[in-house]
Amino acid sequence: MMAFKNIVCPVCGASCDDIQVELVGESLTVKNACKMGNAKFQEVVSSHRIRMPTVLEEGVFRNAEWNEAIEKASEILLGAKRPLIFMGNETSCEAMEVGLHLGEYLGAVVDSNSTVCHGPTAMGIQEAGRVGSTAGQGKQRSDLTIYWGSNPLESMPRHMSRYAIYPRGYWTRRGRFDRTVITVDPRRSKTAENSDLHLQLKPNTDYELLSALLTLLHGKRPHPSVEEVTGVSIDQMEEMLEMMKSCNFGSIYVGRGIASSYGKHRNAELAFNLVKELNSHTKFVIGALPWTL
Amino acid sequence: MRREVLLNTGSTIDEGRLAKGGNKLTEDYKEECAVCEINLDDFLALGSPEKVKVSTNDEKYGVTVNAVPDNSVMPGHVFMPRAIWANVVVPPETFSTGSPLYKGSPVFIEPTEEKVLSAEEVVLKFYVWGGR
Repeated sequence: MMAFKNIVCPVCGASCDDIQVELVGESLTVKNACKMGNAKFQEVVSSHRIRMPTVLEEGVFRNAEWNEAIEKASEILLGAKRPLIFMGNETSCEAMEVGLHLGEYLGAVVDSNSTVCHGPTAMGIQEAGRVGSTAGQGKQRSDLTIYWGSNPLESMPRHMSRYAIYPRGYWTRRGRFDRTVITVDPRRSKTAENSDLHLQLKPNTDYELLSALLTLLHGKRPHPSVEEVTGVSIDQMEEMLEMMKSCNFGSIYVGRGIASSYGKHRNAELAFNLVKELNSHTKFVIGALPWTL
Repeated sequence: MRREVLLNTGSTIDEGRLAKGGNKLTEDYKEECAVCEINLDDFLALGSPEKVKVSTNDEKYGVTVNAVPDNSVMPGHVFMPRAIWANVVVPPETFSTGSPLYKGSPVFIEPTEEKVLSAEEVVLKFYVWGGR
C-alpha cells in the first residue's frame, strides 16, 4: 500500500491541501476531497487514463515512446509560425511557468483557461484594483460573507465548510452562528437556500444593483426605476447595505454570474470599487470564486 | 408554442463530478447535463413537455434536452448545466473580453419530440457537420 498525505487538489481553485490518498493495487481511496476532487484523483487508476503518448501516422494513431513523442512535438512546435499555447486550469503554477518560458522562446501566444472563465473579473481588477485577503483571514475574521453570482455549494463544495462559513475562527468562535451569509443570484441556488438573505435580482442587472448600492453608500437615494430594472426593492438594498456597513469584516466572493453576463468586466470593476469605498466604514475584502478565480 | 426566455448556465455538483472523472461520454452525464430547468408556470404554459428544443434567438442553432420544472428559476428564465448541450446555444459575443455570454442570453424554448443527442452526437452534428 502507498499512502500520501497533504496533497493539494488541482480541481476547483480552492487548493484544498489536506487530501489523503491511499493506493492499494489498482484501487485508490481518497480522503477529505469533495465529489469533484475524488473523481479527479480516481483518474489515476481509471481505465481511460492515457498512459502513453500516441502518434498519428497515415491517419492512424499508434503508441509511441515518450522520447519519440517529445521529439515529434518539438518538431511541430518549431515548424509553427505562430503557435498558440492554451494552458489548462488544473495545471500547477510551476508547469505554467515552464509553459510561459516555452511561449517566450517560440514567440508563441500563451493563453489560459481564465479567458473563458474569470477573465472579465481579472480585467475588472486591472481597472479598479482589488482589496483582498488570504483565505485564512476570511476564516478567522469574516462575520459577513456575500456570494455574488457564485454558487459554492455546487462549484467549490468545500468553500463554506472549510474556509468561509462553518469553520470556527479566532474572532468567529461559534462558526456559522457568528457569520451572516448573503447571496445575490437570479436563481434560488443551493447556496441561496443556505443564506440568511437572498437578493434574487434579474439577470444582467448586476451593474445596476452595484450602482444603486454605491449611491446609497454615498447617502443618496437611487432612482426608483432601479427596482423595476433589477427586481430588487430599495428597502432590500438598504437592508443589505446596512448589514455590510455594520459588520466587522466583510467578504464578497464574486462568481461567474458577474463575469459571464451583460456588463462583464465593468460589473467586476464596479464591485471592486464598491468594496474600496466600504473600507471607509469597516474592513471589507473581495475575491473571485470559483474555478480559476 | 414557443417562449422567449433568458438562459442561465452554470455548474452542478454532479456535472462537476462526471466531468472531472472523465465521464463526459456516458449516459449519466447526458442525464445530468442535457436538461433545461424551467419555472413551473412556464412549464405548464408549454403543456408540461418531456423535452424542449432550446434555440438561439437568431434561430441558427438549437438543441433538444429534457425539460425539468424547477422553481429555483424565476418565470421567464431557464437554467442549463454547463456542458456541450448548453454550449450549442451560448452566444459567441464576448464584448471584447474573450469570454462568452454564458449567462443572461435570450433563447427560445419550445416542446419537441426530437431525440436528445449524446455528447458524441452533439460533437458530430455541430462541430463536424456545422449543425446540419
